Amino acid sequence: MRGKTFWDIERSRRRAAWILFLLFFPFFTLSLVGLFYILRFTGFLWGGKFPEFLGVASLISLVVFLIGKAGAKREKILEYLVSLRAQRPDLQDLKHKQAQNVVREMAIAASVKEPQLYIIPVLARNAFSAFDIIAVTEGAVSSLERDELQAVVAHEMAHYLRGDSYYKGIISTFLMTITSLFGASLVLAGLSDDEKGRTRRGGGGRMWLIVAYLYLVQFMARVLNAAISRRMEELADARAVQFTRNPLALASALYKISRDRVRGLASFANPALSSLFIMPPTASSLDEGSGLFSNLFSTHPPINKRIGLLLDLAHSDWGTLRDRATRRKPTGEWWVEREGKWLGPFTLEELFQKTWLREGVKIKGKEREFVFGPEFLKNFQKIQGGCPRCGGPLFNTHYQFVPVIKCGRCGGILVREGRAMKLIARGEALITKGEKKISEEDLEEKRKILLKKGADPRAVDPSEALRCPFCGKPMERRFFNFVTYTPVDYCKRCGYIFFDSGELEIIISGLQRLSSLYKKA
Amino acid sequence: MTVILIILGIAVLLVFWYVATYNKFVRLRQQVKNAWAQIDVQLKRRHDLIPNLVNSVKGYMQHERGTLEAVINARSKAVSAATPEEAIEAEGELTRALRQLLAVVENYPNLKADQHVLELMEELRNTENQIAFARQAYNDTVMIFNSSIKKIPDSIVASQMGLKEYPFWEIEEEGDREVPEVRF
Repeated sequence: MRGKTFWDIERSRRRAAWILFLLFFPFFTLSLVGLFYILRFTGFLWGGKFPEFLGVASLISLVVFLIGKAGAKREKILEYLVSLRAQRPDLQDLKHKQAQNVVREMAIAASVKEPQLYIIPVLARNAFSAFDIIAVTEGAVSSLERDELQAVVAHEMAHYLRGDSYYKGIISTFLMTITSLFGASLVLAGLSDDEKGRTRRGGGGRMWLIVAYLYLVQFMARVLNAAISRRMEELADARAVQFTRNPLALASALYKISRDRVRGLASFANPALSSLFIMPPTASSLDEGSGLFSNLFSTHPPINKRIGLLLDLAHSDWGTLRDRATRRKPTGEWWVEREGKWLGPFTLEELFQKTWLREGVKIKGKEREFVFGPEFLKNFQKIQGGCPRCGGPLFNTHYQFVPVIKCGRCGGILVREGRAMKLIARGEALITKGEKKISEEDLEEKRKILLKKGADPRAVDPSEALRCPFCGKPMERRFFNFVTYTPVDYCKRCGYIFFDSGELEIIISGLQRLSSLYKKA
Repeated sequence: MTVILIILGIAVLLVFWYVATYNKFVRLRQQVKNAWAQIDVQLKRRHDLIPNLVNSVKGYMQHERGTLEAVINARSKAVSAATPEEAIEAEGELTRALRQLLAVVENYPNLKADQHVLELMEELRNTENQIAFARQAYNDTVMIFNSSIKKIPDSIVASQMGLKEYPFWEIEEEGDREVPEVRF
């Protein structure tokens, strides 16, 4: 691939995507013709000749196409966004403002009307686009570097520009038709129960032939669909480079996203829409590995291939990329003296990582100077281990004057069991109206789950057991109380409770509501 | 009879081709003009933003008087530029002065802690990027336009329409496009 420019890649992928897309219609029609022949052979059809078969098959193709076309609507995507609780960016928030600015910049680079930006309030880093909507997750907005976010938005802008979501919508209608035909044949063959739970008998060997044939058609359709989708992704990557002229930023964004431990979109993901995301929201070895199976079925090209191509365009290599992606932002407020100069600012975590930091070295905090040594360490002990949820660095800090341990990445909070209620009592003053509303919605949603599955904290939060950062043993999941049914993780041995970011606020506003009800009564 | 039909067919095809090519050039020319207009909008936006920015960082940056003055002077020159050549010259100077300012801000942690300054910095960065991307989009469009009016046989239509190559907006110096990174 060396020596190719993004213009070359763009041209070849554009052609490939179109050819494959156009292939889908004759493929579907001819598959139906084949089905009719088999039906005639097995005696389900009395007669019929090729022209009749072709005519009927073409007609069905047309109907499916029209249904797909009618179904590929912007409203569908808006409904999906509502179900994800996505919102327009909050322009008071600098990070959201930045995301909005990035979208505007990319619209200028692509010379198109600015699409609408939505922010999906989840921690996972991902993005998708459909029609004139670009949706980016909160995680991506807040934790990607500006140029990485720009690259992600540019990728989505490329999909928007070519209307990829529209084509994907139409193809998925064809796929659904084929899948339901296959499903119906299974029921008729007695291999699967029908809606009323009855197993049909009969059909016999003749049905087997039809099932096998439809299975083959379904297999081929999926392969074709995946191939189209992969070409679209490659094309969007190339165009993103055209818009940003910064292949390394996209490589770095993809690198970061693919290595995230939290891909928490899985529970939201609508399978028909998952191929729209820049990275498949349900991570599986299929999508990220290479090999025959993933080559056939994956809707996205193998991540290493995507990054490799971008690194070639940037005349860069994996080492540079890793350095760049793991580079930490100097967000701390600590300074340290080294050979007469103040270095910084560092986070406390970064400060402790300096190998030359030993007793006697001068450190400067926000307000005053310290000398590093046991005395200093008494106030700020380094916390072993990482955040139980995301592995991020942990700090000692305060929440409304209550000492807590906070994760520097996901914002989760670890607190000693005895202090938890204090925390909640003090937090009252901080709750905003928006948080109250979220808490109500959260409770509503949990109620539904709990009514169905019983009062099991695992039903509400099915993620794997977290590990205590102090003793390394799995933590126990339990409800913090039976008012808000918030599942928290608890380590019996060390006496710490872990709240995911935002859960404290939900509990606080839930309790507040309850107490206001008592007052009224 | 057959010959006449063939000639007629060819003539019809030629007319179709001519109309299609003509329309293509009209569309391309419009794209170039739009891209140019976009640059203008962004430059104007930058002029409006600067007084605000300078006012809010002035207090923190006693020792950087020179940098701030360079920004203010370059802005007033750019605003009062009479000819396009003057404007391009002054805008280039303004870009360099702003870049210097953004780099200097890195040395002032207090400044970076100020929410208002951070917001202005983001605005400025946004404007700088928008100018850079508008210029890039303009150059890309010009490239496509220039190469398509030279392609045979479309070049015949182009010369009939009297189309000429548009000039690229040259980037004056290496690294001019790169805005220094402001990290929050």
